[in-house]
Amino acid sequence: MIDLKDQKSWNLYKDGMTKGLFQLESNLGRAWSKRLAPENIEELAALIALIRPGCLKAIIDGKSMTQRFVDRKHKKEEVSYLHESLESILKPTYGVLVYQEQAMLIAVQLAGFSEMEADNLRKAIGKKKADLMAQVKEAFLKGAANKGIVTSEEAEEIFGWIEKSSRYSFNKSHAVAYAVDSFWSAYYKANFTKEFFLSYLFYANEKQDPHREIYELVNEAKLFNIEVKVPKLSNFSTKFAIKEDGICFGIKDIKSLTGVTGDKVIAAIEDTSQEISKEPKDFTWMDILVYLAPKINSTAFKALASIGFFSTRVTGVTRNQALYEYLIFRELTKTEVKWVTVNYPDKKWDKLGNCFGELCPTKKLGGGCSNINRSQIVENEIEMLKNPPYDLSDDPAWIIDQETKMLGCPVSLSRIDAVDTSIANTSCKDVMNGKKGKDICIVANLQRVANHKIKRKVAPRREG
Amino acid sequence: MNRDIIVFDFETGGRNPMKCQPTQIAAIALDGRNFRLKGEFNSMMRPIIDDEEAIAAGVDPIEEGALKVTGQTRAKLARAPLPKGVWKKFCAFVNKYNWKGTPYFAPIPAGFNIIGYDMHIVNRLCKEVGPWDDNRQQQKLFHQIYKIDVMDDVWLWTEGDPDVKSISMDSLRERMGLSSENAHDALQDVKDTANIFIKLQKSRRAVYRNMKFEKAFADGKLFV
Repeated sequence: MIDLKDQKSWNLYKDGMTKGLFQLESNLGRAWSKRLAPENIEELAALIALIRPGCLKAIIDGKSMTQRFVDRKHKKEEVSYLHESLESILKPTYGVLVYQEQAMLIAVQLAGFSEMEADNLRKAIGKKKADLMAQVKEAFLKGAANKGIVTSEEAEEIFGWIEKSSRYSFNKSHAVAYAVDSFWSAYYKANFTKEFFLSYLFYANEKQDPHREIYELVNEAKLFNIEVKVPKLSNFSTKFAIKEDGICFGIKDIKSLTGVTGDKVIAAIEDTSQEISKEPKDFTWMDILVYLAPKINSTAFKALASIGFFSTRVTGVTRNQALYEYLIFRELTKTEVKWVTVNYPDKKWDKLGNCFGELCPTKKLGGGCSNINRSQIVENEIEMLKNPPYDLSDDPAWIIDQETKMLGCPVSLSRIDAVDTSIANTSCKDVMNGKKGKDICIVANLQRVANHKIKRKVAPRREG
Repeated sequence: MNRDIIVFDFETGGRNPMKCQPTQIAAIALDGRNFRLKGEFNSMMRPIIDDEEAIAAGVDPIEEGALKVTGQTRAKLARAPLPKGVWKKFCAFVNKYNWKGTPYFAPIPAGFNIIGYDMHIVNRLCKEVGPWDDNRQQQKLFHQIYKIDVMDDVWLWTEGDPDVKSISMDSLRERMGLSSENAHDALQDVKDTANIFIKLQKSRRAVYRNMKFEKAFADGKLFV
């Protein structure tokens, strides 16, 4: 049973941590959630109803209904009612007419409408039917006169107000159902955080922009101290999974390995494991080149190498070195690869250079090359292995670019790891946790710069 | 710019870009946004040393003058790695900086006199070893539209200065106070070219900030 008073869940709304929370995932939802800080389902339902375009654009007396609701909740504006008789109906929403059901109740209470007639009013509001609205207005004014709770002028004003609300008012049953769903997601996020992120990441591919979704989820997971990791040969799964207290990308979450190719890679690793009777975590770099590489297509192998899949403690190769040596290994002919595969169990070369050294002589001289031209080519590659024309260490900026390309976002490092951060004295997380002060210096990755024209010398409020 | 830049240079054994043999290739990768140095590439390339063999293969023999300029010897070049192998490694190096893995985001080639010289060699090597675009009949290693020829760039900046008589790399080194040590070593040439390019590009960015491009001719004041 979910506790609707769970403070950890309500804090998520208050702090604007609404990624993955139903109906409030967008920037707009996050910003308004932070401003309103809902504390119960009633307020959450109102928030969901009030962040629709109609509400935000419905400026009455210089304020949107959404802003009015927020200000009244935080006691920045006095709660007032058009007529005292409306208080019982509008009190839960601080005097703001948020729901169509509230308009129906007003009609029942002030104009003596039957439920059927009140429903006609709802239809007229919801479907914006002018002819029906005119009919209902006539009935409303007549009914109000008969009831006598309000004067005819007040009845006219109240109906005008209801009419205006047709631009934004929302169906309450719908809003409450959404709010309950939203709270459930908040409850799981607050109490089963790792599982929450795992399930959202698992289904990220079904979103319109999967890379954007993954990017946002991974960044938010970091704020919850959840480590997200790249898959490694020593510890991998098919799809996103919880591993060693963190969430790990699966092989099929890597770009270009999402479909059948991913299945083939997993099958190839399992085959190799059986073939050489070793666990994948114990594969050496030569095991990978000799047994695994020929079973995987080149694009998939390069994708895996570039995200550091093969860079384990046992292999000891950098991502660039893996890519470079794979490129060189692919220079071999099928016959030469066969010679290497046959001889590897006995020779057990620990480095590609040693392997090429023994392969280099022609077959007559005890090597694996078919002729002198091939010997020359292999010799050339040995030289290129000894003296690579470029640095094979992994530059942080390059790692970030590769992970962004293959996984949708940087995982092992963040963009700021590629720059000098010695000047910073505060992290973004500290600021989010409320650190304030005069001399705060943070290093942050600026993603978007927006220019706002200031009207009436009041800057637009921006949060998030 | 949202693509990286590869400043590169070939040292060759001749002057005709359609037939000369490259003897060295060097390059540096620059971040297109802030011009941060991202990587370096440098490798000798083994040409066909024997003149008759070179002619038979349809390329120009190595010229003594070229060897003198680059400070190489035939014996040293004979021990250099084979050009096909080096080219493949160079392609791998360039592809490292195609950060979206699509032709549109391929790095932009830059260098001194590349349009008239080095790009012809790139096209030759791409046609022979790859990657080659059959439809466009041109290389598809670098970006296929943008190219930055620093020589043209320097010429456009200095064309009104009567004191600038030559815009050869050697003259520019002297004029701009760059060291001439290791000049004509491909990697040093590339670094000097990159320094000149970055200086000019930064100046251009500063000028652009104060320029009005939008509707610049809306007032009808045309030059021609």
